Amino acid sequence: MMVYEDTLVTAELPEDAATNGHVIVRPRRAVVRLSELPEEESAHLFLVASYAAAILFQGVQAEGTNIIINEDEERLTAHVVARRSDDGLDFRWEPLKLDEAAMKDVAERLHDKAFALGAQGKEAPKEPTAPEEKPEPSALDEAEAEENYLIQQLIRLP
Amino acid sequence: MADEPSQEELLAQQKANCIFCKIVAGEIPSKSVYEDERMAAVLDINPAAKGHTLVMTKEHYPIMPLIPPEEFAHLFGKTAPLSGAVAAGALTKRCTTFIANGAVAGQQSPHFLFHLIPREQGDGLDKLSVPARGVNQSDLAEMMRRNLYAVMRQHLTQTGKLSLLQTGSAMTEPAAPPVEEGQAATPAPTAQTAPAAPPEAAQAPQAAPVTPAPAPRPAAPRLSLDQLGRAIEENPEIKALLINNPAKLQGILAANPELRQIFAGVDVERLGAALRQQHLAKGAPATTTGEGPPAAMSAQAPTQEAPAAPKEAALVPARELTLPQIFAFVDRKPRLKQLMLYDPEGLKRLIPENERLSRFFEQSNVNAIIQAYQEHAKATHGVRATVEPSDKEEPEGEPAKRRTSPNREQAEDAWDEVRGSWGHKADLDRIGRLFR
Repeated sequence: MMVYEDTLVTAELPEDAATNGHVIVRPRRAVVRLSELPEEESAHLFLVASYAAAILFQGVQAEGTNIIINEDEERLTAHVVARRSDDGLDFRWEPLKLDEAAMKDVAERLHDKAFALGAQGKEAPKEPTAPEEKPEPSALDEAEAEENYLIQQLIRLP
Repeated sequence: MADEPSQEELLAQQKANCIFCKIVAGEIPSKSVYEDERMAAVLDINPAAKGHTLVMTKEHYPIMPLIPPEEFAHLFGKTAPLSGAVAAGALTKRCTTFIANGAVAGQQSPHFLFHLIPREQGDGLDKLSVPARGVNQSDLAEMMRRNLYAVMRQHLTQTGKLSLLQTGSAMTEPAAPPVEEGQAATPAPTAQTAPAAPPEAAQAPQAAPVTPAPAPRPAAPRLSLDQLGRAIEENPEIKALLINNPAKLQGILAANPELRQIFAGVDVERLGAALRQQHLAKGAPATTTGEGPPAAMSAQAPTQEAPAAPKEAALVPARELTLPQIFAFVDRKPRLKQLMLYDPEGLKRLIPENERLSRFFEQSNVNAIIQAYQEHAKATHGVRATVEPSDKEEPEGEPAKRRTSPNREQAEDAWDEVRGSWGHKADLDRIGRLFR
């Protein structure tokens, strides 16, 4: 059941949910790996997932939420799952015992691969393209804020 | 946006003790995987797999929704290539991204972070997969649809990306009127500016704690007359405007498409007149204060000419309500809730002095109610952080002490406090603003 879509992602309730409060968010771009998504689309995917999680907190009285991408499905899928202490779900893992040498070795290998991100990071400054365009609040806005409040309260109703 | 002082203090305290802030600052050694000006990724010292990496913002944000939009976009933008790098560094292709919000979900740190875990066949981590358990959640669809659309629309409007919503599909709620940019950028007042209206428990006891409206300017739903009636009862300012100054309300309607839509087809003058009659019949003055949750609690404190909460709506005493009804009632009264949770003694002192309070608690076991409510609050949201007083509600005779959350057992981990705020109703309202 589709619950949200825009030009970059879709969100739906899976047919076969894990719990009451399970939303799946997918990019429209047909990819399997998160790393195949452009940065903007990745950020947007997590944004929608995060909002869905926030809504689950309130909407189904979740005590927590998990957002999990396993890259084991035909399409990249972010699962947003409401959590409660007695829900019978368990995503905890047993920590491995790795010695210092192994940790150091893997750290170096990861660092070598991730280091290049820093170079691409030059785009980073242009990233916040639009965000700060909101006008300073004025007296007029305050009057409007009051109205917004009214609406907000109305919309709160079932 | 000025946060409540107590929350800021809390955050400062939390930061000072935060292991991950120290890791970011280099005060605690770690194995760095990636770092830029805003974020850091280090190896998890208790890895689920070789190459298990923790990703975090350098700035300390206790929970995901508190990350400002720019940082959020950077962090989760970089996550894409970083997950590829983590997998490649671990000589595999696949990588799990794992985020836990809240202790129940496995969030262990008050510095929001998440996991990138390289995966391979037979790695024994199948439990990270989300099981299909056949739960039917069709009930959830409408709530999720409405709210997700509303928050996204608001966010995209505010970040200038509204065009992303133009999918030309049925999802874009037909009822949604176009939003003018300027309007939508207006900061929303917090829910706490809500007047603690006098009890309407009888009329609207089930005013759904469940349907949150995270966005200050979501698409307006179409209300039935019945719903409109309840909406009015629930919104003292509107009711007061209807009663006292329907002309002004019409002015507001004219300027506000969403509100106008809610009142579509309603004769505001006549409705106002009817309400006025009804009101007078109850023997209540229609004048009250507009801004004031405090006034609502300190029964007779009519102030200026501002529109406001009708004072004398039917107050159903606690003894005639079921516990859930009492909870629902208290949940809607920020001041009362505050007192119940933080200052029960103060509340008990206040009861004999306050007419409405004494009527409400008449012949009831106050201690039992307070205790039950505290347990309820603990169970639903984690006790504290249930109430964050807004700047506006400073009732006369109420010292500012509640600002610092009295009776707080200092030692109890500050984290609980912030996490507890997840469950609070007002949170979603705030989230709308926080995400900008």
